[in-house]
Amino acid sequence: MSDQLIIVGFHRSGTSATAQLLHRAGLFLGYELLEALPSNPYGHFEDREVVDLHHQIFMDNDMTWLVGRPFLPVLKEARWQRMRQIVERRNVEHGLWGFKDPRSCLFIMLWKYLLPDARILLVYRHFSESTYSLSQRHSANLFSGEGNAYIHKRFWEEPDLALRMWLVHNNALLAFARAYPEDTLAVSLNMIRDGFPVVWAINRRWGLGLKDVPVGETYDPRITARRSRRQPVSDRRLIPKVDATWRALQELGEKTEMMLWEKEAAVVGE
Amino acid sequence: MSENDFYTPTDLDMLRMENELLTFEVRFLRSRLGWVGRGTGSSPSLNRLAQLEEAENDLVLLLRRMASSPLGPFLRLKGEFRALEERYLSPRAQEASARDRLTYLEQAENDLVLLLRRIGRGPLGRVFRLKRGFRNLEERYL
Repeated sequence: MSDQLIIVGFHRSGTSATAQLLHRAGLFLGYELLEALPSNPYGHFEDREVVDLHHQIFMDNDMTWLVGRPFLPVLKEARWQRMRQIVERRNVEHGLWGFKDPRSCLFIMLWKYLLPDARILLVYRHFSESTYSLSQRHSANLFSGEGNAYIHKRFWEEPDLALRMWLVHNNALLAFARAYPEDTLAVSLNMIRDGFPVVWAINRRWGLGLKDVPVGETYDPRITARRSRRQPVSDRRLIPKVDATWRALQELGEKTEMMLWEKEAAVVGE
Repeated sequence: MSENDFYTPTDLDMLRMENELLTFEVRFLRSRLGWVGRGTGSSPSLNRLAQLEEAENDLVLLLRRMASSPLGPFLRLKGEFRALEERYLSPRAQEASARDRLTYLEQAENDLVLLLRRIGRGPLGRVFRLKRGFRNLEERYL
């Protein structure tokens, strides 16, 4: 029997730092991990096989990863087969494994279909900070001539693209959390910044036996950019939607924080 | 599809995005020039310091040339020119430079850019542009 823990969250939400933490705690995250880049100096901790597969599914659906509208992926048989291969190999070779890829927000229901017992760690971050960080990364890539300029430019050609992406990805995660509340644990980047014991919470919730690693050993606050002004928005109809999604995420995060309060209350009670 | 499903970006949206991208470009260029962490007290790169010193030198030479030209007395009628002379050609300039060298150099570079813009836009801009030295300065800083 093998356990699976998938780390999901929108781009620039702290999933890499969280994956790094869990990797050190003993979670197998892939045979070949993507290399570090200036935008993620400690590495992405993304499984190349999983990332490649997600990109192929986007291509099959005539899309890129810049998904700003609700997306229902259609999978070819070859892609299902590839997913099964990825799952089978890891299930055979690892007692506990997982992967991290922000794109998996949009495919998480598919993975859950193949891995009915998989748990997800949902990492979320305020829309203003995530979208700013995303814009910062793509502007830097655009000006330094790295990567696909067409992709980078789209953030300044389509109003609210990053905000709509944030909405679509996080709504997909909320749908998962509502369908599988027992298999979801949500943490915000702010909680991690404030030293919330993520590994302890995972072990307490699911008993996965991860080694305890202090958050401070892997989390570097200098690498997370923050927007100094309020979120600009062109399409005002997005505001109530984003607000509702943010509140729902916060409610999930508060449930996770409750675990710590319960523990502290128990200690005080003793 | 209802009309509500459509959304047409306005000129204002485009302007906002262009402005945001320009802000990022400035940040990117600043970090490339070694201004990273300026707010946190770290020092600029040696390259950047050399550039700033070159700008200061160019400004001082330009001001001296202007002050000693036949136009000098007329230029001195303007308070702004007198302020620049005071700031960069007087003995007080040495003191200010020694007190906070980095701030002084950055101000010198800024003043040089403003001065070049002002001269280039003015009625004598074309006359100045006949001189290779002025064209070089424009190319380097504008």
